[in-house]
Amino acid sequence: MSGFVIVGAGQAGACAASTMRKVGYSGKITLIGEEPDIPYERPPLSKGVLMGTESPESSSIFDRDFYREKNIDLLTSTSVQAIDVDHQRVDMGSAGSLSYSKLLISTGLRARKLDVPGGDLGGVYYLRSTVDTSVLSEALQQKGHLVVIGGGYLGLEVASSARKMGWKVTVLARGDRLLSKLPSREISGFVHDLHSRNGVEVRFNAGIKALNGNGYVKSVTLEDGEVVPADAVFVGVGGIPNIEIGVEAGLEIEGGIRVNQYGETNVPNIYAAGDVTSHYNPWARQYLQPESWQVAQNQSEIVARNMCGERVSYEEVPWFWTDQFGCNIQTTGLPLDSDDAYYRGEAGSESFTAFYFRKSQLVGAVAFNAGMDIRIAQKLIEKGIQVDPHEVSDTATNLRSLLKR
Amino acid sequence: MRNIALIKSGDLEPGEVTKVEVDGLPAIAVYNLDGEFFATDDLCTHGDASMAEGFIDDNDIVCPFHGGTFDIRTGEANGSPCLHNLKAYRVLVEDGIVMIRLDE
Repeated sequence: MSGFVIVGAGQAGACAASTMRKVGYSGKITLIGEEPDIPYERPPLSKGVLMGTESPESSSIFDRDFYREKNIDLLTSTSVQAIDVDHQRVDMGSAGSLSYSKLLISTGLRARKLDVPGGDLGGVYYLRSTVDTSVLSEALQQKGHLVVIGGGYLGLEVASSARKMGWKVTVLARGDRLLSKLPSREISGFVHDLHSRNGVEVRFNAGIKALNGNGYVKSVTLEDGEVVPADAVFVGVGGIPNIEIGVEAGLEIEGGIRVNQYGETNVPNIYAAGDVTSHYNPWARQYLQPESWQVAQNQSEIVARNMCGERVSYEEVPWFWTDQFGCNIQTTGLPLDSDDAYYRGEAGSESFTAFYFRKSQLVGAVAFNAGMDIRIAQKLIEKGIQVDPHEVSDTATNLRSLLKR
Repeated sequence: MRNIALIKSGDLEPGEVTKVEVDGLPAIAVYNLDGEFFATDDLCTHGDASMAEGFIDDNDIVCPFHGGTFDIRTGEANGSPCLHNLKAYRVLVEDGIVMIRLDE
């Protein structure tokens, strides 16, 4: 009996399976994941779970019983080797094969490896899975100097966690600012300030030449020849979409698996959702590869509904959050290449929001400890409501009231 | 059973939420939904966030940290990543004072 097969049991896969049942699909659902765990959320892995303040189990999306109750066949520790497009089957190697009427690929990302001499030494850590987190967490039980390679979200979150666990931390950023996805150098500067205040040293334009040590890493050599001592190294240099089975099946690739706003690939009955996709967003009028919780959660829900016969377009305004040193930083919209920021609250203080305009149209916002502003900005952008820069930056304006226009 | 006064009903506009500190209890978020008052614990069950800094979307409060949602009327967690319900209180309004009733 064939039914729906979901390859990849992370946030997107689990959310899709649950949605299929929610909208009344009663056929067979098989959710296949390579990891031994039941599906879990990844955001806590670099924060509470890493520091030991949250249990790994607490990040499970649903408990084990949920899959039984919903009659979802969850195959853990199982990898799909290939898709036979002509016969609509997936090959799971020694675990056999399964036919599908519709297939969802939600295989997500894997950590990009640092390709330098010494990259495979002991004491060099990556983070993607619960196993990675427990290995790193164990290593951080001793104290020392952690060198974080990468000034992106993951590197900075691990820097924050390690600092709180008593480590001296140095971040080596490849570019000339942190979080280069943020709209301006100025706003990146506030993130740098946050880390400086909390004792993290940040080095910019720090290309990596080699990792040194005899079996175990002892130092990092920069491209300019400088040697930075290290007791451990964390590498957070981005993710690579797990597209391989899609490539072999003849799916169109553009960074990730290319899908339209409905989650359809170029091959009939094959869909993709979450981090593995490069998906067309009609609001943004471009293909996006956002690597975010929001897409894993919400796009997969839409795609699952489409697999069940609906026709719903995924066109959310992008939204992203990170937690570092107790500061919740959120961004929304696509504020790159915008004009100057208009600040609501004092820029650089504990709580403030930067609004970004392009041709007097609100295109995005970044908030430090002001999540409500972001939620409202996201809705203003989504609805195309005209607002004045001076009005949103005036704290006397009730932002919520602008939504009623 | 005892009643605990939180705010004057006139001090909270419809569509707004505020945080109230009460001795011996966790902080409480008080909501005005079109003139009807509700109260829940203020601290999110997922992250370290205050509901009073959240966004009211129809009958839901959207957590300011991670966007999870709770039904203001019942405290039910109804949007990811929040899985655990917020405690919701019984609310009474008498003589313009919004109160919660504790069964103890």
